[in-house]
Amino acid sequence: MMKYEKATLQDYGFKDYSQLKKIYSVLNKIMLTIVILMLYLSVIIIAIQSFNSSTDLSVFNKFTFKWYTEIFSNKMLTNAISNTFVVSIFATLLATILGTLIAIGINSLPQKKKQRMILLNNIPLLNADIVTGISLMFVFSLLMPIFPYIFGFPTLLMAHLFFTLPYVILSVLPKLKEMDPNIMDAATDLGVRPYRALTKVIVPAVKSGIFAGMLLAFTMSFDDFVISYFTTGNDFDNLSIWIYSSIGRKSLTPSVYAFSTLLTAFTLISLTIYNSFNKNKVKK
Amino acid sequence: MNNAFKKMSTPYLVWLYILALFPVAIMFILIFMNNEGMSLDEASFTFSNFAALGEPGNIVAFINSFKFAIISTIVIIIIGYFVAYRVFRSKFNNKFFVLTILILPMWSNLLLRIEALGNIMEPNNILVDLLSKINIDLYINIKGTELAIIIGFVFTYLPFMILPIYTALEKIDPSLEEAALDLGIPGIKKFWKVIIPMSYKGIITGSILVFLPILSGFAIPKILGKGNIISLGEVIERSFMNMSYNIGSLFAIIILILILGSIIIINKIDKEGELLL
Amino acid sequence: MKKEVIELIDLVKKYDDDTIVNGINLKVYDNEFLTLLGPSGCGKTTTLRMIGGFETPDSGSIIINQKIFNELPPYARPVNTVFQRYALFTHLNVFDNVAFGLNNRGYSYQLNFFGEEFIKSELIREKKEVTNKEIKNKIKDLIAIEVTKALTLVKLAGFEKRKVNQMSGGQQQRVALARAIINRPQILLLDEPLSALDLKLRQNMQYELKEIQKKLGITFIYVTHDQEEAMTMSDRIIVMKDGVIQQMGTPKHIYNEPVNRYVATFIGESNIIPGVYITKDKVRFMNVDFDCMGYNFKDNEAVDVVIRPEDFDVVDMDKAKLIGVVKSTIFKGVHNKLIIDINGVDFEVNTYENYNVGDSIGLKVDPYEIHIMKVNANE
Repeated sequence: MMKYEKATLQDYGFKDYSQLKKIYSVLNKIMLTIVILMLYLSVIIIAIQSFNSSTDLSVFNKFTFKWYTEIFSNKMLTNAISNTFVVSIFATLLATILGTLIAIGINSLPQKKKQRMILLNNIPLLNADIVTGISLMFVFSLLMPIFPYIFGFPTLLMAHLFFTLPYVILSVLPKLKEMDPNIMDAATDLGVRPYRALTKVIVPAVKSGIFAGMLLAFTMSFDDFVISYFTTGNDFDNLSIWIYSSIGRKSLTPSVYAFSTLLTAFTLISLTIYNSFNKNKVKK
Repeated sequence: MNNAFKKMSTPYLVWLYILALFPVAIMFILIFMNNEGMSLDEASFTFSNFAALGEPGNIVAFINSFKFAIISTIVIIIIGYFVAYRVFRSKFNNKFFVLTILILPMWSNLLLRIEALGNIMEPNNILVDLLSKINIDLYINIKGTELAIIIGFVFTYLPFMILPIYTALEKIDPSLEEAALDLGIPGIKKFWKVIIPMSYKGIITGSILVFLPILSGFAIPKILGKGNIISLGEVIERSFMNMSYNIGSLFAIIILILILGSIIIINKIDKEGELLL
Repeated sequence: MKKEVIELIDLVKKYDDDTIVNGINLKVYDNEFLTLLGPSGCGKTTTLRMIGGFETPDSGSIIINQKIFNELPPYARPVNTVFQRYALFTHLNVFDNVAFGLNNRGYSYQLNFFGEEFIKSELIREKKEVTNKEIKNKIKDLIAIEVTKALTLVKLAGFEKRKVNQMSGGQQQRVALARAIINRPQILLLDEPLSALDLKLRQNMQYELKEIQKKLGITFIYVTHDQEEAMTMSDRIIVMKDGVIQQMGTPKHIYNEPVNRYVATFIGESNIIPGVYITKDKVRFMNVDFDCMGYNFKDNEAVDVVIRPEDFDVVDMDKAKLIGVVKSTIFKGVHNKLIIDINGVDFEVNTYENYNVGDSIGLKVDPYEIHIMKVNANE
């Protein structure tokens, strides 16, 4: 057995950077942590404020849970919160169902028409919030002679639908493209009628896209401020508008911070549970 | 299959025409009109609205917003690419989970978050207070400056850049990297010569998703600038609140033209509408 | 004495609990066309990737040029790879793809590649100053010449400016080949490069690849599951199964002297019948004694007899050693493939003449065309 020596990087004209690589890798980890802290900084501050017994935002008085319990006693706040949930959930559901159907429709169009639809679909997405808000306000106000009380929940819902539909469509379309085009043919060949085949065949095939679109739509709708500001009526506040006016009146109650922290914590925990649940599934 | 579903998207087309295109047309007409509020009495065709473009206040607003948008976008591209690349390269089991964690702050109300950021940018703030309790003294006074606004924009819009870049990175055929290694090109050279060119579409998408909202945003500059630094978005908001719809429409249309330009760019790069996700 | 370029010693690679490569010992020589042949999952691609540096062996050594290469990354090895799906850079045109290695390696590498003295003497000959700028320009020109040479070798001269995704599969394959060989590697690895091409194109490319290897005079290590491809191009074939080498040798040797049942069935068509080696040069199967030659088994040892379909001769009944009935016949163009039933055992026989189902047919086989294998307990 001959004893061979190891070939080295230098033999072939390369420098050995493995020491540098170790430092590089540590630096990377540090940078990544810094970035994550950056993103969460405001959330952390909100959390701190939620436990602050003083309403003075610059001083930390005592640690307290009272703002959390007061969430429910503040009528205006709970009102705004429930309005927000109602509108967002409604809009998301509608957007998901309609968006999926529309995406299927768009996918069946010939190339030129398809591109035109996609182009138009991008407009609500990329348009500045303020332009969208104002445009929608225009159009809705034109309807006022027919529906005098339209401003409020109906307009808000329509506005949210308007800017969430494109997100659903944009999530579902790529999955449709990846789907084997023959499965619809297979279904009809086996005697299934088109609309039934839709639910039995196409929807399962693109369900990850539908799910992603739904999440995205809800995120965009729940947090919306500008568009809601212009398209709601006097009596129907959602959370963002309520916060805005509270800030303006300098009457912001820390219960809002409590609510926000609760929401963040809830989502974080659900995600972690879902993730570890999935990991176990995969292991099996 | 296609025949059954072809008509399904037509209602959406009508919906978009009414809610998206029609108001734009109205605003376009309003630019050239001179009328009170929403009524059409005493309306006349005029170019006088364009004078607003020359007003110093508005010009400052333009410049401010463009400044914010350009600087923030560049910073976000650098940080965003770094994060996307690190997650992509990492050995995490569930990268989807990590990405969702990065998006999570977006679920907290924007105004609350900006207020919180603004809070710690002033000398008397809660962090300073807490830290002083453990004897660390910190002095920050950047609220009301452009730096504060840019920081606010960067922290807020970073996730919008990370996702498209990550998606683009995932789509790169791994054998391309092996080919580069095989041909003797490792490390940084490989990154510049192969990975970046193959993921530039993600950078472009991310930039558009970031640049446009920053350009037209008014909440962040208003809060973090303490009302001293005016933005394009605020000019528009003020115009519409003051019922000067004509001038407001003018600025809105300008932004719209920029947006349409971006949409056309996106369409040229990405024919199938898959980039955004 | 052929020069050894690669030696693999006891190479092992595992993925989780799966042992993909299970102790490979192999010597690869200079200027040979070597093929690793086997079905999916036999470890041939993994072995290739370990030689290329894209996988690290769990144990064992990879010796190249008398040095241990296990830890060395791919970019430092004197090896280049042609990937299965070409892995061309779609953002570059053909020229930039082919020149990629030379363009991006760094100044000192380029100087070394072309020869510093050579460049300087060229510049002096062209009455130019010997400055860094001039040297860099000269290198650019030299690279362009190399690209043209490489493209001409793969019959794509003139395609420099083309975009790679506007080219056909066969053309892309050749660009990938040019991109690899321009770097003058000692060893070229090819990972099933022709699998995505249609039959005629594949056959043409097989021929061309062999020609290129002879011209370049370097070692080609080729991976495929197509035994015909392996037989056409290789100087030596390594038949693998389950991470272990079953047999190695020239195509002729493996075809004629398969060492076990697996190799016999994998390469070419064969009939394998259990038999008994009665005594020297005599073997008995199907209850008939046959003369055979060239084997040294023990008297009365149980053996496997291998006869290729084309080695049977159809003869008149009185001269026949085996008689059977035609069960089916398929026209294959070049020959007919007949299934003959002899006493309940199916035999595959190739004939040029046509026979009908139900015909009685007499067969004989020459002694040197009877191949005998040791019976392997676990097959």
